[in-house]
Formats: sequence, structure tokens, C-alpha cells
Amino acid sequence: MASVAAWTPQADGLNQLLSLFSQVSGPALMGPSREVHEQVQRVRPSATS
Amino acid sequence: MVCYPAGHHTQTLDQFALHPEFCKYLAYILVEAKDQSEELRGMAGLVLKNRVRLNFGALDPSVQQYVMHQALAALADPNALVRATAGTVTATVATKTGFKGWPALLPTLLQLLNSDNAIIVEVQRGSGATAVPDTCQMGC
Repeated sequence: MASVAAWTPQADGLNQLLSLFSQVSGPALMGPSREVHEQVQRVRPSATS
Repeated sequence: MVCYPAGHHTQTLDQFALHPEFCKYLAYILVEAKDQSEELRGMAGLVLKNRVRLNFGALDPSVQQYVMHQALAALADPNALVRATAGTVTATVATKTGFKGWPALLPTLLQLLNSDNAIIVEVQRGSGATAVPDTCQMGC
């Protein structure tokens, strides 16, 4: 299993994906950002209200 | 089509999704990107969960193995949101593989249930409660 976990992403692709996700936040957006917000509320009710 | 963030982000994410290792990147962010916010890591995990739900069988076996390995690793993450998201990813993968297709699943869940960390045990009860019935409905 060690070889499975040893995969390393290409820095350019990783940074682009991180940049994309960082632009998408807040409960007003549709899709997974809203789902994440709802999950945050379940895990930590006072975190984002 | 990957139905996720609104606006032009959807198109950009669709372009990323064409990469054969897209799910590896998502799993990596969920588990390894500890310098990122929990919301960002959780978002990557939920996109991963949806990709798995729609497309797990079409993924390259090396991608499947990496996702399965990282999902189990994230179940013990210090962050509660990451653990919870990993639980949904784990349950979704389990419905695709069954227990026979994921031999490490039950031993890992049982090991975590025996953990001294009460939070991890609580999360495992939740993800196990989701994964086990769903998987058994598919014939285990």
C-alpha cells in the first residue's frame, strides 16, 4: 500500500485546482460549496452561521 | 458534465475532469493539503464523492486504488469536516466495490472503532452505519 500512497501530483495542476476551489466558497453558491457549507453546519453548528 | 460550482467555474472544473488522474488530485487535496482550509478540502472531497458515484467503474485501477487508500486514511484526519467528508466518500466507494472488492475496508473500520480517540470512533460509527447497509444491499 505504500506505493499507492506515494503518488505526487504535478505542481501546476494542483495549484490550478486549488486556485479554482479557493474562488468558490460561501453558502450562496450552488453545488458542492453549498453541500460543504451544510456539512460544516452539521459538524460544527456555530462555525458558519 | 460535472455539475458543481456555479458559473464559469463549472466549465473550468469540466476541463479538469478530463484529466485521467483528476480523482487522484481531489483525493490528494482532501487528505494531504493540510495547509488549505477545511472548506476547500471538504469541497474537493465532495466533488470526489460525486465523481465516484457517477464514474467509479470507469476509473483506471490505479486511480481507484489511490482513492480507496486515501479515503480510509482521511477517516482518521484531525479535522472533523475532513473526517465526515471522507466518510461519505468511503460509503460511496463501498457501494461500488462491495466488501469483496475492498478487502481493507472492514479491517480499517474495525481498527478505528477500537481507537482510543472518541471522535474518530463516533465518525466511524456514522460512516460504517452508512456503508454497511448500502453495501450489503448490493450483495456484499
